[in-house]
Amino acid sequence: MNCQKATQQIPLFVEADLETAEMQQVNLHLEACRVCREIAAEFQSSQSSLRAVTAPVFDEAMLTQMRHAVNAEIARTSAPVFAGLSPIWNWKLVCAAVVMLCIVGVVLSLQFSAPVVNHLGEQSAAHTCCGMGGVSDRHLRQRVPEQSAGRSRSPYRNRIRVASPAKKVTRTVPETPFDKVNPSHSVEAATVPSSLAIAGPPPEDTTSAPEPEMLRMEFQTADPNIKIIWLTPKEPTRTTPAADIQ
Amino acid sequence: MEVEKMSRNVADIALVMDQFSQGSRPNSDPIIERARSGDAAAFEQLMIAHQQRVLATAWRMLGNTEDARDAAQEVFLRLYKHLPKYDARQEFAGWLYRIVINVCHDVARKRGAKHSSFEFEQEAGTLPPLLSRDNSERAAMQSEEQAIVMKALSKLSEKERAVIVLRDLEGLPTEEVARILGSSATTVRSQISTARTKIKQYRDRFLKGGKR
Repeated sequence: MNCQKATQQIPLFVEADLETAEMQQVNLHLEACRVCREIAAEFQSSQSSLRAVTAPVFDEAMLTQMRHAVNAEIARTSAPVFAGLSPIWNWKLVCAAVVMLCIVGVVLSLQFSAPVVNHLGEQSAAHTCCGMGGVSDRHLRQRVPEQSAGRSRSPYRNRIRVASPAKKVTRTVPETPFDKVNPSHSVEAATVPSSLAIAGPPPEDTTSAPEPEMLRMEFQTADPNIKIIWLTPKEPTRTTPAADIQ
Repeated sequence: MEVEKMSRNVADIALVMDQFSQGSRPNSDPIIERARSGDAAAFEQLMIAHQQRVLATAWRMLGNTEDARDAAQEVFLRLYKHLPKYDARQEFAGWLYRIVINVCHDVARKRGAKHSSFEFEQEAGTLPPLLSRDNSERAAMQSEEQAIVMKALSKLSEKERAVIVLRDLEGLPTEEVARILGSSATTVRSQISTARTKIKQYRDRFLKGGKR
């Protein structure tokens, strides 16, 4: 073993941290080499100084205080979460939780109760009166004379054209009170199936004044939710609106 | 009855301290078993049995009493927290040393800028002064050497200080130090060699140079 190798091993040799064979090799080298022996002696002196470093004696008061602090911390951390809360606080928490659940429930119910949309992009007639099938008979009765006049310039200008079965029904209903509810009211591409149903006259209204006999026609569209009802007098009576007179 | 209970507790503490110092396997340690099952009195006895050793190790790692006390407090809190997970097949002393070293590393990192804490202890008067004219020359030399070695310890890296404290100051075998620190014996030997060389060089610089 040369001095370089021995110098590397000496820090471990002084505390017997080497294997037995290495310890013997370093020992043999130290017996022959005075310089390395002096280095080993310096390391042993340094290690003696290191071992002389003694920790101070900790007094019992400090130790007791430390143990009490540990026990207090353990008691604090192992206590239940709501142990420090009064019953009133518990009730408040319960009430707050109930209110929050109600709010969440309302929001979710609104979210999932959106109106059904048919294949025409309109809202279903079952849910709204904006579709033709949803228009009440009373409203139709108001409009029918104007429509039957055909040539009159009614402010409603409702126009229903049934070309033939299984063809398109074009309807334009602007400026009606319903349009304010649903502006996108124009119906295009509503296909009338061949099962065109023409119903008989509606039952007579015994309470009202005698009206001209009406012909009621019902058109079932491809969408089962949409039914077109057309009421028209059997013998058209010409009515002249006040505007036309002027 | 009380006397009998106290004498039993003292005997238990003595048994645990003996196991701690000898590094024997405390598989059947009654105090540890009772503390694991949540017995507060047993945990108190466990603290009493280990407090001096834990504080001394923390002081050697951190260099001042205040940090050592905080570290020891944290060590016992972690001990209480992790005691149910303690595997009785491993040595309790080594397991506890591992907690001490980890806590001391955490405290040292938090301390950050106040790293040279050994100097702080000298200023506070806890440690003997470097040169005392009233003492004999021999006592002065010993005191000076001790101060220099402690300062050299504070200059080591965390890992180097840990291996020196465990191997040279606590007297644990190299393999046990490697187990505690979670590294190989070869690595620990290398770190020990480097740390001893640094301490010697630091000491030589002050003693042979004739100045601090």
